[in-house]
Amino acid sequence: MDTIVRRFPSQKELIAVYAVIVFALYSWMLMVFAYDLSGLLVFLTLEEIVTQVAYGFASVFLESLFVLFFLVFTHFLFPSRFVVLGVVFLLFMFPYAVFAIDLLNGLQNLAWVPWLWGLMIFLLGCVVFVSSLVDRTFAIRKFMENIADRAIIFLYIFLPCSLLSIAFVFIRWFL
Amino acid sequence: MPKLSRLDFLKLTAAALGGVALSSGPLARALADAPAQGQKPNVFIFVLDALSARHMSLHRYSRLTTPQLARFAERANVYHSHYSAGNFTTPGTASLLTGTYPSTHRAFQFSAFVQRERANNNIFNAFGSDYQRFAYCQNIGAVYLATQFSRDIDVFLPPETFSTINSLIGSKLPAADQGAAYRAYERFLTRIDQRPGLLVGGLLSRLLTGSRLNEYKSEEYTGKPIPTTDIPLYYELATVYNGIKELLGQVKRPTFGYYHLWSPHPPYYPTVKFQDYFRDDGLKPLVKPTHPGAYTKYAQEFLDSLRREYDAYIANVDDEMGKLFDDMEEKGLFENSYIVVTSDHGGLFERGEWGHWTPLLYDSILRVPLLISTPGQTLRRDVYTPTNSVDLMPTLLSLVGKPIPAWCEGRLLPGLGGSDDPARATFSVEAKLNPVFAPLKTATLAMRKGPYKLIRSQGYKEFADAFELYHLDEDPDELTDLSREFSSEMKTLRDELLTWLDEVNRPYTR
Repeated sequence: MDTIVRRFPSQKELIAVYAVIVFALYSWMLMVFAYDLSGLLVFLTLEEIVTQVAYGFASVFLESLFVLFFLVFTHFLFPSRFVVLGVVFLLFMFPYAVFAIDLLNGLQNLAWVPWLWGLMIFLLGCVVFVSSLVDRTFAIRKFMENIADRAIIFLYIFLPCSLLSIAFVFIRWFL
Repeated sequence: MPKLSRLDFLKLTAAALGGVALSSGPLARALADAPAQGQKPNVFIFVLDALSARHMSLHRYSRLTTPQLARFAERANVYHSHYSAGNFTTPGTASLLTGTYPSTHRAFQFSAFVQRERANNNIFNAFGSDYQRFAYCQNIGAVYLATQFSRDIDVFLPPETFSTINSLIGSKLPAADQGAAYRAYERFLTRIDQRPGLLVGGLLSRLLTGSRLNEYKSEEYTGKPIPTTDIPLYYELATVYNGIKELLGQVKRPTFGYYHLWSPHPPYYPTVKFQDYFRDDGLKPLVKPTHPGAYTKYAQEFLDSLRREYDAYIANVDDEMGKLFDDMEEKGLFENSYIVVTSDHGGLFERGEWGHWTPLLYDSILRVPLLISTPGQTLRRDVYTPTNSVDLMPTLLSLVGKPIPAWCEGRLLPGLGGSDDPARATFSVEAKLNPVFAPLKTATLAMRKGPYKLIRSQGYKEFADAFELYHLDEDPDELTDLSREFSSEMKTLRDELLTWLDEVNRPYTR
């Protein structure tokens, strides 16, 4: 029990890493939405567009929690500085995700699916390895912690949007 | 009238897939509460998405693509010059379901809704609650429209019903906001045809669905993919049709059923039996000059190969329709039902253009089948007068003794209450680049009147504004443009089309 408690990241670390996750995932969602927006304006009402964004904010919030929990679980298995793990994870997995999504566009190239699963596992291993290396390099570690600290502002911007969006969606569902 | 809950849907899907009798299932329970039957006939509409009349042997296409539909035609009214009001699913289907032209319902773009204040002006509402109103749509464009009309639909089966593999999310969320949920997930957050809004969710959805597809093996589709739509929904054609047969066996009269089936929409994935159906048959389609507005600008040879795949897929669908008709006959549904087979649009394999995502409005994309079998009909009746998909709704309402709403722009079909009127003009509109809330400025319009078809293209950057006029009786392949002859017919038709355009634009012109 003591081991589990010891391996659990501190609140400060959790917030910093969550901030980086939120920045990455929400930015992606908003970038995709911005790309669609000019087309949507041609035929959707403002309410319908706002509804689409609300679903986006609500869903990305859940997605960000999923990623955070995954990182916490990884941290239990491979303890290192949690902030370093979080930043390295995003540095490796974000490009991988974009690459895999583009490769599987239209669900073509299905022969690549097993390779992509394997690549994901390999990269996760790289994340753990690189995290442990960075952990021992003060300058890089400090740099990553600074990045994570600065990302905290996005929590103040995006999380209220998500909470409002969740409420908005629930109202549409049940009222 | 109880709506189908999510739990009920899951039970229904399991029952349909497992072949368990539905007699104790939720659909039967829902239908058991159906109003008193009386003598009202059922009405079943089967929309075979993207089926072009020009590719049907029933309509003298040289490949034997539709022998089963030809068999059905022997006991049906066959409309040989029937036109969709739009050239892809959303406007074509919206016109079919509302009896209005795209210029009125304004569902111009893919995944659009009809004008919000007109949402009650639909065929389900017009049929009224004394009918059991049923909808099953595999095409997400049709699903959006159906969600908009969902208050008037008693049983609305999700698109993934009868599918083999799917990763849809919209239907798993509360029905109260399903249209928005479908749009949010299937067209934005977890879509597969473009980058999804959810980076991790979109990635995992693709990987997991891809894994399931890789593992799935089917004897019917050995070495080839199983059919799919433009959302992550994969199915075997026979499974879908068998599911529909089960549903039809459970309906209690009177029922209005709308079945919008994806195939033969691309991608073309027929079963092994049909994959090489027309290979090396020697058909040499007519080569037409490439149109400057064509999006794909494919070479003729490639278009011919795509045409062959499409024709094979049509033959596959036709085969399944034949089995469906046999099943319906056994159930006695031909005696007490109006059975309609039609499509929402066709497809082009000419002038450099492939498919139906195009600004062009030639006959191959606009002319669609319409076959209507009336209760107890045993003889064929052929109608050659031009008709339009806006005519289906008022005709069906009239046949079942319902009033025709004043906002409906269609007329009764000849032979089913209407008469031949050579002076009548019907319209088709393509305006996917035009804002919904603005006058039609970037659009292609087609007016069909008597033997003539006048096409007006305007506002496109890729090619100049132009008129095209064809005499379809003499020139069914639309090769000889008569518009430059400045004949009196051209002037009269042009003035009529432009007058109509002014009228439909007036509410949006400030």
